[in-house]
Amino acid sequence: MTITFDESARAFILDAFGKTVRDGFVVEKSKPTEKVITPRGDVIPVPEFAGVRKGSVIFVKNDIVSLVETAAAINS
Amino acid sequence: MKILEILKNIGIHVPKLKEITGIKFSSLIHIDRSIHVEGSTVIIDANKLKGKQKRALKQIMPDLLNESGAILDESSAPTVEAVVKSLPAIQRAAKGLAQIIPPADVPLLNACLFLRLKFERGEAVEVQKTQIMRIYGTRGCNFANLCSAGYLESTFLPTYEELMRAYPNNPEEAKVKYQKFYRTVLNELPWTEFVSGRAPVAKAAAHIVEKMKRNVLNGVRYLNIHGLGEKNVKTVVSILPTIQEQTGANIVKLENEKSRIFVRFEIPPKA
Repeated sequence: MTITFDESARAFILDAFGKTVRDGFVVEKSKPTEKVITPRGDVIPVPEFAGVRKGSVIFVKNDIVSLVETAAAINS
Repeated sequence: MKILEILKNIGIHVPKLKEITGIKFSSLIHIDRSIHVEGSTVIIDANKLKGKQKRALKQIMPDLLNESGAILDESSAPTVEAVVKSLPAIQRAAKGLAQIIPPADVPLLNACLFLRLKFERGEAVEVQKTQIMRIYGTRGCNFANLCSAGYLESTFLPTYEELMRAYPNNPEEAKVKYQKFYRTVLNELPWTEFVSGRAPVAKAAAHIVEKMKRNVLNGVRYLNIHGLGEKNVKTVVSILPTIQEQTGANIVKLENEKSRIFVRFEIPPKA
């Protein structure tokens, strides 16, 4: 079963995983000066936030490399 | 525990359980309900849930993630779904090379193979190729082009097999030499040129002529030129006479299709 969200629910999803938005980036809710980073070390501008995937909790950007990695993680 | 059961535990009851294939979080529904079903998707408007239930929903999100594998923005979900469907083909093609290239390049390899499948279906790949370039630089774009043009099977894997034969008792040495070859090819494309429609035609021709003349000085008397996509095919066709005239090279192979062209030039040795 797939779970998705649209822009109107983005804040709820981020909040559920302890994150929020500040100055256009996904940041830690408990420490908003700290930007969330992907496993590749990239910060996540809000328009590029594609969701979360398991593997503890990994925040995903919407580029093709990250989405291919997400698909592989779902499949494993 | 199944996703719908997890939701049921916090009082979110979904009707028609057997038909549900997706959950979508959205606050864009203009009805006075926090949950409703659209086709096979349950739409949950968390903002319309009562405080206690909304908090409970937040708390179970990690469980939902664990069950589904991912919670995705609706604009990215179709791509992930398409990749999941393509994974068997991607993994088959990547199998040999994934073991011998630098581990950091394995996601690049998988992404390039997905793009190759899209390209073969005639789908647009330019936006995603640009994303690869943003992450891996020019070498990433080169790898995507090389994969789409068939170099994985024609060059990358045979070269490794050749090295394994040359160093039968020292596979580590073969791997080291292979990675040197791999890095050179990705960074410099020594015997290949992918013509991009983004560059002006005259500049593309001048670049190729310069590369061929430089290669000759290093003993390489050929160059493979590719154009992928209709616009690039037209560019390649238009620059062929200039290249021949300025390098004295002969076309020894030409494959020209609507969205793909391959030209192999060879410069004859001077008599």
